[in-house]
Formats: sequence, C-alpha cells, structure tokens
Amino acid sequence: MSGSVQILLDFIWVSAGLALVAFSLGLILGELKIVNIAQGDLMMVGAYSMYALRGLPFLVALLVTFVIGLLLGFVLERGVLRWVYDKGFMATLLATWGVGIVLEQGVATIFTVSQKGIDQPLKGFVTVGGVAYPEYRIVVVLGIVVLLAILLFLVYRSSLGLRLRASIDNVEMASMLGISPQRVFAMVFSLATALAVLAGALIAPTIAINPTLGLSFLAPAFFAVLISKQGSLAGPVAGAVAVEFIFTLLQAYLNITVAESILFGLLALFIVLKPQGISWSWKPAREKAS
Amino acid sequence: MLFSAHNVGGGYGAIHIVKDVSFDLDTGETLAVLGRNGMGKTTLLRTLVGLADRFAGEVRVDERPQPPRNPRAFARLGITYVPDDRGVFARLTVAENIRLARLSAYAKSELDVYQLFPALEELADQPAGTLSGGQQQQLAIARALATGPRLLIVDELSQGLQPSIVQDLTQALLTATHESGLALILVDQNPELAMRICQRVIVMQRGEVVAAGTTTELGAGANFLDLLVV
Repeated sequence: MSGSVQILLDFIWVSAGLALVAFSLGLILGELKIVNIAQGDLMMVGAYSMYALRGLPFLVALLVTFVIGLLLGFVLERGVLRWVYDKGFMATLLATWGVGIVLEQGVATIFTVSQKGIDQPLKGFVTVGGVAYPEYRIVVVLGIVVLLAILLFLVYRSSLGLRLRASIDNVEMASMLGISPQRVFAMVFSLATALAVLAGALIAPTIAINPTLGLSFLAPAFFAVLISKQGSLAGPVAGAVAVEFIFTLLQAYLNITVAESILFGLLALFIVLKPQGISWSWKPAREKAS
Repeated sequence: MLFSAHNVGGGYGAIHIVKDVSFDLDTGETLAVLGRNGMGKTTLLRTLVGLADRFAGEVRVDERPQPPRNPRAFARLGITYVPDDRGVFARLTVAENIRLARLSAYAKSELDVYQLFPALEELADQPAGTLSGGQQQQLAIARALATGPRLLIVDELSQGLQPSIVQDLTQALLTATHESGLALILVDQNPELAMRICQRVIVMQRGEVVAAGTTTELGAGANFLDLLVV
C-alpha cells in the first residue's frame, strides 16, 4: 500500500514539473510556431540561477530568477527569434538549438561542469497515506497547480489573453485593431522562457545541478505538447500528466532505460497514427450531439 | 477632410501595382472602387491602411500625413478595414471577436451589432472559423462596426455570398453610413450593389484611376459598363 502511495506521490511531483515545462513549450510551439530546442537549457539556467543566489532567502532568489527568465526571454526574442519568424520551422529550430549550446557552454564556463546542489528550503515531511513525503515537493506541486490555473485564466479569460490569442490567430487583423503583435510575441516568449526557468529553479533543490540537466525533461515535454490538439494550452498540461502516467506504469515493472525506450516508441507511434493530437477539452453530451 | 489620398503608389516590395491614385473622403461620404479582376483594387486598399508598401504619394487623416506600413496608426484614428478573406479570428469565438473590437474601439459604437446581425448572437460561443462564409462576413462587418470607426474600408462585401446575406450586409452598411455618419470605401465585384450603397465611384484599370465621379454621373455614362467588363 505504502509503495503505491509513494509511486503516486512521485508521479504527481514529476507530472507537475513536466506540466509547467510543457505549458511553456506549448505556448511557444503551439502559439508562436517556434520549436524551442533550448527549453531544457532554460530550465538549467533557472537551476544555476538558484545556485548562484543561494545566499538569498529562497523566495527572493525564486523571484529574482523569474525576472532573469523574463529578461532572458525578451533578449532572445528581440535579439534572435524575431529575425527568423518568417524563415520557417527549420530556421527557428536551428536558432534555438544555437541558443541552447551558448547557454550550456556559457554556464559550463562560469560554473564548471562539476555537479552542484542547493538545500531544500523546507526540510520537513508530510505524512500522506502512511508515507512521509517531503514538504517542499508538496508545496511546489500546489504552487504549480495554482500558477497554471492563473495562467490558463489569463490566456482564456482576460483582455490580455484575448489580445494574445488574436495576435497569434491573425497578425494583420490584430494590427488593424490597434494591437502590436510584435509586443505581444515578445511578451509571450518572455513569459514562456520565465516559466521554463522557474521550473528549473523549483526542481533545483531536489536534483544534482549540471549543465545538461534539462535534457531529460525536453523529450517528454515535447511529446506532451505533440500528443495534444494544436492550439490548446490546457492540452500540454494534460499531455504531461498522460506521458508521466504511462512512464510511471512502465517504470513500476521495467528498468528506467527500457521504460524510456518503450515510452518514446509508444508516443512516436501515437503521433504517426494521430498526428492531430488529442483534444482534451471536455464538452457536455448535449453540445457534442448538436 | 477625414481621409485623403494624394498621388498614392503602392505594391509589394519591388512590385509596383497602384499608381498615382488620388481622392478625398469626408465624414459620412461613401466611395465605391470598381474595376475588373487584377486591376489593383485590393492593393490600393491595403496600401491606404498600411498593409502594403506605399512607394509614392501621401495618405492624410484629418489633414495629417500618415506613415506608410503602420496599420496601427490608422486603427488609432478610427479607420477600420475588412479584407477580402474577412479576417475573422478563426480560433476566437464570435463573442470574443466582437469583444476584442470593443476593447480596441476608437469610440464607443452607437450601433448594436447584435441587433444588426441577430444571427451572430445565437452563434456567440462558436469559434469564428467554424462559421459559414456568409456568417463570417457578417461577423467581419459587425466586428469592424463595433470599433466605432469613422471610416470603414471593405474589400469584396458580397463575394461568394447568397443574396439574402448580401441584402443583410447591404442594409447594415446603409444603416451605419446614414445613422452614424460613417464614411465608407467599398470594393465589390458587383457594380450595381456598390453603386447602390455608395455616392461616389472611382474605376481602376492597371492600377490607375481611369474614371471618377458621382454614382449618378458615371452610371449614366455610355462606356461605363465597358470599363467594368470582366
């Protein structure tokens, strides 16, 4: 029983982190049509930022790291991506790949490649179903759930979100309604970057920090986005939970390497069979019938 | 003068399509731009609102020259454009399309767009991309009117639409121009319709204006129809 609860709690913990990364990736891929290969490296920047700021109170360091993410996203969008928006899929992929290499090498040069670590700000344990689980992880999961709810509300219910979705839908007509799509795109990329950086910052106290730490999140996050219906922002969040659920099940019976191989094989097959992805949105039966 | 074009030339990059077009339009005035396919009507409209390159001439709003390639500047001055592909935000619902227009409005519209197009109210929660062509055109016009514009520029009002929808759209434009003093520039393949809605006409051939006048004057001319034969 306690083994199952432990697996369930670990599943929720990893799903939450992955959901934040997938949401950020979905925002960039689904909305701006940019394949951001540097997403994992942005997480890594977040973790190193927390390491560099370890002398500060944790929440202050987290806030500073988030702001660093916003600024980094703004610089990347204005300095790199806006020049390749109209150059197609491959150009954006190569540009973000290049950004990833620069970030990785830059961090390795500043901090060296040796592993780093930071202390968890909350050291206690909470007993859930007979299992003592780290308090920090529970607080982070709750925080991510609240953050994602706020973000989804902003995108789908606020005036700002409406302007954002309109700019993504039809740049020309958005301009004709007085909206500046360039400003909106810069804002979206900055926010998405800051979310990836934040995800890295949040997991930093629970992992060994090294320049390639984001790689393990990149593939599952991309799959979480790709198995979701294009254009949905809630989709990548649900996709992340689905991917992690399958992975958790496989890991319960197989070693991690075999589990990963089967997971990615299954996801690749799914994308071949259903390239349009799953629509996770729930509709009442009455609406479906009409 | 609300809006004026002086010797405007426009196109895309090195391709010059529109040459030396001039006209004035004051509050409440309506102008039809007619001509055969490929004569530069759409490029003219796009040049006027800053969506295509202006390589010659001047566009003035309230007598002030406006920068080329800056559609936001025109939006801020109450100039609204409905393109030939309607330009609805496909992934936004009907209500969101209208709400966005109200958020970006130049002035609070005196017109109740749902009253002008009652069908849109029933479709309020439907994504605009799922509407029929006629419904999308109704939404495009409704959204444009919801911005409270001083000048509405419409490219191809009736293209591919059934007569009853065209009638509704025509009525909406007549109501808007008569009741709220809206100025209108209208491109349409149907000269009879355009001349029913508008007081003045310019006819374009190979990117240039070859005839201009009031609807009555030009419509009565012997060679008027020859200029428009497709």
